[in-house]
Amino acid sequence: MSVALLGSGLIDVYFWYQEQKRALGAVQQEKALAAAAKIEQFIKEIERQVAWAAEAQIGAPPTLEQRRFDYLRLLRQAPAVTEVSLLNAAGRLELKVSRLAMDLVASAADFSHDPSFLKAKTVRTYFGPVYFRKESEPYMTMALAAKNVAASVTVAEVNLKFIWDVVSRIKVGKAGHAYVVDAGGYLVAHPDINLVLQKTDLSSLAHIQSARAAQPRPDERKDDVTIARDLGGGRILTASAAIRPPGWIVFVDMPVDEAFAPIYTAIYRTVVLALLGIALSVLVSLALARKMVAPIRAIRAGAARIGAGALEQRIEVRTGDELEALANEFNRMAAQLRESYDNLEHKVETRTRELSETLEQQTGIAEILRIISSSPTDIQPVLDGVVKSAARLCNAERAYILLVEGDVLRVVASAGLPRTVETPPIIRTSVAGRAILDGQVIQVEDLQGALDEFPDATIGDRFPEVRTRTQLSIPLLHDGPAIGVIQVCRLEVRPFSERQIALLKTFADQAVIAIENVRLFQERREKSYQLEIANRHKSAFLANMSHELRTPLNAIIGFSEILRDPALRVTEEEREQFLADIFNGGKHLLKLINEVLDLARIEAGRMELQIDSANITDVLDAAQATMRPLAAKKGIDLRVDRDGSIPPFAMDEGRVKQVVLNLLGNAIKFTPEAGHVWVRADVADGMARVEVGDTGPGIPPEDEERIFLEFQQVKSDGFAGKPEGTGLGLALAKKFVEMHGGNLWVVREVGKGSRFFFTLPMSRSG
Amino acid sequence: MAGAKILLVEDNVVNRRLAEFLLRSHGYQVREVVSAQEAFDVLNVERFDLILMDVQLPGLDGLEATKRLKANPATCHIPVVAVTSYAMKGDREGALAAGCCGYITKPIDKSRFVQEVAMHLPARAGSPGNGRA
Repeated sequence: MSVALLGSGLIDVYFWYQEQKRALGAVQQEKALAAAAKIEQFIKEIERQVAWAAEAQIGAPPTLEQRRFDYLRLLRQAPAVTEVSLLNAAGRLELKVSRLAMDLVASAADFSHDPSFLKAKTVRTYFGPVYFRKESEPYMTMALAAKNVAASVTVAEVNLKFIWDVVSRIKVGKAGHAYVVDAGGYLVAHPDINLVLQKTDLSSLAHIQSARAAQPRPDERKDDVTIARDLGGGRILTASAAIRPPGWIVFVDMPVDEAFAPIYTAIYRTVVLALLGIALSVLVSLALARKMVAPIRAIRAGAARIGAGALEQRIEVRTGDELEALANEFNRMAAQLRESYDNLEHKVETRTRELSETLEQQTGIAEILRIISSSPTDIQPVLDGVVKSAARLCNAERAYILLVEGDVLRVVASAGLPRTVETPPIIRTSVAGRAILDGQVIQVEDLQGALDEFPDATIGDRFPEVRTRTQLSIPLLHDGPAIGVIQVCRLEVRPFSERQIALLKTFADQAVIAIENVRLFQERREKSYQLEIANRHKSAFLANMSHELRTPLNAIIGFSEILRDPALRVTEEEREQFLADIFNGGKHLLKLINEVLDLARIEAGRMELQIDSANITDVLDAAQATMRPLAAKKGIDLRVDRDGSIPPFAMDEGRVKQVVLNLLGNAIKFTPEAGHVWVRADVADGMARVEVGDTGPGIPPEDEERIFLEFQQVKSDGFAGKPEGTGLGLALAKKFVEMHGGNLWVVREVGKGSRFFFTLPMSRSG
Repeated sequence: MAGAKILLVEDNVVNRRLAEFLLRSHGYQVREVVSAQEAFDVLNVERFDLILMDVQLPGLDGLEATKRLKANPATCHIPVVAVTSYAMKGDREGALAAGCCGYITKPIDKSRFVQEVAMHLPARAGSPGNGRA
């Protein structure tokens, strides 16, 4: 602004300066012109008067006297002319009239070579150079050639004091002055006469030269004002005007300093004013700055602090204007930022906590999965892992898994104290029981406040000081009724979150999967084991069948072949024996086939018992009757201990008799000659119990289990005449007993023979 | 030499009677025993040209008994022919592996039984005469 102010002031000053210069120039020019006109008029007047005196009067050529008279008149009329001379055609002085000296007539002085004579002859009027008389009076010689008087020249000495007066009178300011320069550049008139007397040559000055150069066109009016240097080297403002007849030039000079003094004053004033203005504006600026910048700084610093995160910072600006409003806006923005940050931090914190919770839960789930896959056959590590993770991830003091076992629940895994082996009943008045019965997740926020609904103490609550307050039970569901429950307990009232419930549901699913896996695994293993046993059994059965069929066939085919071969000599005794062997072989085969068919029927589930009420004692008597001849052959005492008090009951009499026969047959077979075999029946625990005992060697311990399997018979010493056992009898007997709902077993007494027992239920239950 | 001497090891009396008759009818001398242990006892005191060994013996079975005979320098040279009613796959290989040189399955075929015995008798034992024919 200051620059603009200054600039405008300078421009103003410049134009004003130009105008002032032009105006000053015009004034000087006017003065110069006026001076020039005065001098010119003065010169012309003198020239006219001299010309009058020079011209002959009308009529005849003037006489000298005439001339003298004329010249005296000229001296009278023109005070500036001091001396008038007449030169004749030859340049000889004929007459001289002077105010100062005696008139001269015909002095015969020769002026023929004088410049005034010669020039006048050519230019008619000649102005000579300025010269001084008495060292102080400026004079000029003026010569005029007469028109009508042949070849005469009038020479007048003109006192130029008048011009000096004119010039001196011209006042230009204080130090300004006018002066006249002749055509040669010499000073003609100047207020300082000394300069004129010294014949100062000014032709070297620039403005003189330029004025002289312009002279050839005399009428041209020059408006130019130029600035030049005077003799002393000072700067001057100068104007000039030409004086035509003598070819002189009037100069009006004024020192620039003086000429432009008002301008400089004005400039000085302007500058001072401008500086004052600038100073004032600076002061005002500073004041404004103090008022504006400080609060802006405060706002800036505050904004920077806020930007750097110091959101509690408040900007203190109390200017009561827009700045305060701006600061308040900043403060509000910071407050909002603070709030947003707090919000964000809170959100981030929440999300982080949720994420870490989720991660923990995922880790827990993955851990359970790892245990499941690393423990395909054992459920316990999985259940232990589940309760441990459940207690930890749900912040529960206790966690249990209970599985349904019949009518009760059994704790199979627990985390937290107390460890318990309780088997609570499955009832609707316990949380776990209801969760299982309803197949629903049940959470009780405060058990103490829900004693009406769940009066049954939950497990692990034997000690009042550590009673469960909040309990959550998640049923283990798998195709149908729940198979168990996961239970987490807190000793304070603090409900489990949805997230924790979801996690526990996942754990429940995993536990179910694991349990199911293990069950399937064991089932499969059991099945494949059974299949393997069955396969092995089948192979053994086929091998045994082959063996058992081939033995009687060996006798039948072998002896038949022998008997049919006429080339072989067979005694009568041998023939009888061979035929008996063939017959026994056939019978054995038949028995074998029947027993195999019975077994096949039983195994196919197509064997049906012919149930009827019968007296067990009668059955024993019939069997004894059948076996008596065989026993008698070995001298064995076969006895039945009767108990008539046993009432008749429902049985398949034929099959029961077959069982008794088999046991008796074995007993007789393994009992040495003259031994004892007995059979007796009694009642125990609602069952009829039949015992077949002998005094034989007993069953070797290693054979105890084997004897009940098909084709597994203990070799007898094989006495002649008795059909070999098929090896199926005891197995079949056991199956018949079991079909009745009874059992068959052997009691071994070392060295005391064998005692076989079987039981039959006396009341058929379906 | 009045016919080769054969040791018949067989627990079943009917089977023993059949084999004894057939061998005797073809001129062989037959010594009957009912168990492996009895066979070892007899072999300690008597010399036999061939042993007919039932595989299904009570106690030590026929194949195990054969292995022991083959492991014993005193009896290892006596050919052993196995007689079995287990005509299942692998039984024959089992018998040969145990050291038997022949294998007869029950029910026995009269001609084949006799041929098998004759085939495995050492040459010096001579051809059996048809003593009773």
